[in-house]
Amino acid sequence: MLFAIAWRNLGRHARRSFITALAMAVGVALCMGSIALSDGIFQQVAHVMVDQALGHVQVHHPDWPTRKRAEDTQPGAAALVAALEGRPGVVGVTGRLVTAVLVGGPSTSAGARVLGVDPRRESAVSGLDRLVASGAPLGAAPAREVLLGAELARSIGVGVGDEVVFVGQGASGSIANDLFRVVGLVRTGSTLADRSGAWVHLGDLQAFLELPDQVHEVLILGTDAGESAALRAAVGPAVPAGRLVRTWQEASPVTARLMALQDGGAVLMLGFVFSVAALGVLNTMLMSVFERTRELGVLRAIGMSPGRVMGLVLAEALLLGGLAAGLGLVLGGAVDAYLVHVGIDFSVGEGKGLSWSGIQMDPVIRGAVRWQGVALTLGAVLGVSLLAAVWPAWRAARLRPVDAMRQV
Amino acid sequence: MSLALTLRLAVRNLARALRRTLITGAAIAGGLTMMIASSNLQEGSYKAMIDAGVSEQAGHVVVEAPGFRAAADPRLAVADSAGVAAALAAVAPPGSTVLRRAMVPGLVQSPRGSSVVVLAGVEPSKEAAVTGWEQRVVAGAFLQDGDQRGILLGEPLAAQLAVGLGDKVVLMAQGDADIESRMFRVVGLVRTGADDLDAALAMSSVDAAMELVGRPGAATQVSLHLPHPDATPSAHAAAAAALAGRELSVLPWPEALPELLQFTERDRQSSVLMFSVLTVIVAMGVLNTVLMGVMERIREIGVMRALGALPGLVFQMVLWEAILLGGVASAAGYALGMLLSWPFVVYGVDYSALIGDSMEVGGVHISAVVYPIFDWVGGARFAAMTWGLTVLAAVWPARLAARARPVEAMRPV
Repeated sequence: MLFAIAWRNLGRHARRSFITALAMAVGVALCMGSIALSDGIFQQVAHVMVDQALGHVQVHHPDWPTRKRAEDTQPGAAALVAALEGRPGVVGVTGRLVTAVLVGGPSTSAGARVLGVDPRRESAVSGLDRLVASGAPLGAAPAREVLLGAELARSIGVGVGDEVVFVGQGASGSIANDLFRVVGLVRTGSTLADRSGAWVHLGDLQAFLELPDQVHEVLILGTDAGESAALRAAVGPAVPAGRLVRTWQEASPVTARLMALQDGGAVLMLGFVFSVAALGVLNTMLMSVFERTRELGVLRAIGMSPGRVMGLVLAEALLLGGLAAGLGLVLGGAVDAYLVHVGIDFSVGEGKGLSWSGIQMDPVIRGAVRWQGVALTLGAVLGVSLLAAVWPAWRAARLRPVDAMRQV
Repeated sequence: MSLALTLRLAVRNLARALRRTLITGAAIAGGLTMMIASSNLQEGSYKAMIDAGVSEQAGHVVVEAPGFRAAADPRLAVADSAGVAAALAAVAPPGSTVLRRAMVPGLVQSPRGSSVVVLAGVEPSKEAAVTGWEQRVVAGAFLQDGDQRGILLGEPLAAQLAVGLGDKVVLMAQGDADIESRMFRVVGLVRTGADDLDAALAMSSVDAAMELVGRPGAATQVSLHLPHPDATPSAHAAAAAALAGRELSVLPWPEALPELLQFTERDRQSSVLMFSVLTVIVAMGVLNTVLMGVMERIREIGVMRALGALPGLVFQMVLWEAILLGGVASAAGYALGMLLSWPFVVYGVDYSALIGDSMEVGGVHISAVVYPIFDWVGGARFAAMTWGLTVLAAVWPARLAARARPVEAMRPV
């Protein structure tokens, strides 16, 4: 009954109700669109920063985090990786050997960070295969093939099929050098990796550095980056004593904090938009209460309790909010669909995207829709409508029937 | 007479529905306050980015060898760098600094490890005066002028190489035919706060860096740093004239840092879009308020019309209500926005709890403490936009009021 009366009240001022709801609906669409865009950016950042660079859980020599020295390796790499793969909840495991070399083309050379990886396992964790922009991925067996970051290859003037020279340092400190053949060029999304990254077969790098069956780091991927603590507990028994096992949040608190900004940013945006929209609702509801002072007085006089009068006004606001949410869902859905399928062109320079915190964004940023973002927005519009109506409702409930009915 | 009357009527109407006027005014002013405060913060971060980019990566005017920009090959250098620097200094306004710099990509090695770096070659005392590198030294000292063997390393890089102050490292880089190497001694450790930057940071004198690649006396970049950025166009013209005839590219900073400039432009565009939508939401609230005001006064308006007020007067009266309300509220929002920015302009907005001590944006590293700036002109633009849309929102209700036929308008109770 309350909602029937409330609905009739909204209908009596259809134009006013519609404009108020539309204003909030535009707010809903604005929030949904900007949240989808920011979720799209976060998805990309999470992929580069977490899945590619950190994994969900990492195993290292205990001194690795503070020093990252060449000598901080883990022996028995093959057995460790195999044991980890057998643990529950593990989606992928990759062992990596890391070094820095000068990589030389026909006339010039540049510094490169080289990752020795098992191509099949690495692809299961970081998707290396899919990052190959031209040429082919690494072969399954060591064959002195190399994938170069696209910018790195350009700077030393080599392409797919060319040979490059690695000059580096073996485990003993002696100079090491060898020839590798470029099989593919890689675009990772990380500015640093594109400019200075190189990937070779783990077996090749173990031979180059004279570190047989050793790796510097082992990355483990589970199903959900948020469940990393459970994954760490699950893989624990497979890790030999004296190793450092960390979740990605422990390994990179800065990244963890950055990811935590995702929902914070959305809430900030909602607060920004709806604090403005709320004043519109407040105005509408106040107006609606004042012009019905006499009518509300009659309702009170024929026995409606103050609580129910308050409920009546709140129900009206809730319906208005619901109308705004429905309209907003349509408008926002259209905006989201555009952002997901078309996206916004943020390219700078020659087709490059924006860079932020070391992440090279795609030139066209596409939105991503998470149900949390939509739910948060719709919740906010209903909540704000209710909140804005509390004062008008309180005033309506406190009316004294005699005084109220006296007013024209 | 007529204007004074309409104004009086408009003021009276606003005052009669004081609560509604205040709430609507608060919505206009509140929205504008937030827009201006966040726009000031953004402009502050753009300024920090451009200042950092200009002082550390370029200069207000930059001189390079043609082709260096595309290839980033230190062998494509300004050969007579001292002569070019002197020519720039001769035409620069007082208070300017001319810096010779080198960027040499290579490999740094110690007996215990090796790492990829871009060796930055600088003129120590002059560089420190422009970029404040001295403040980032956490152990040892900054480079000394004339020291051809000293090197600064990022703290995590030194840890990785297992070297400390006084230890030797070898820099390897591509020379003309072969890979060349040069021994340096670690004189200081630095920390910028950006881990990825610090892990690849090495700095020596510009002459030592250029000797490594077989270009003694050269520099990959000669940059002019002005005391005031507004002088860039004239300084660029003077520099180009002074260096005419030499095979060099002379760039003003917007051309030397095109991506940085585009980044700030893109970011600014997207927030202007967002602010515009927000203003439309505010304007719809205004539309509603003015419409309600007209509807509840429709009888009164009918009486006015019956007494001989022309539709134009009624239209103007309603429009003036919006002009006054929007004008006062926009002015208040402008003032409040600037006032809200004030403490942040003084103390800064500290993002370090969220993102660490420094962040990379658009290719430059800036401090996590961002200082907004008072963007008086940009803020005034937002205020004008808000005011304009407020008035625009009143046009339809005003026409509705003006068109009311006296007989019909007076009929409803």
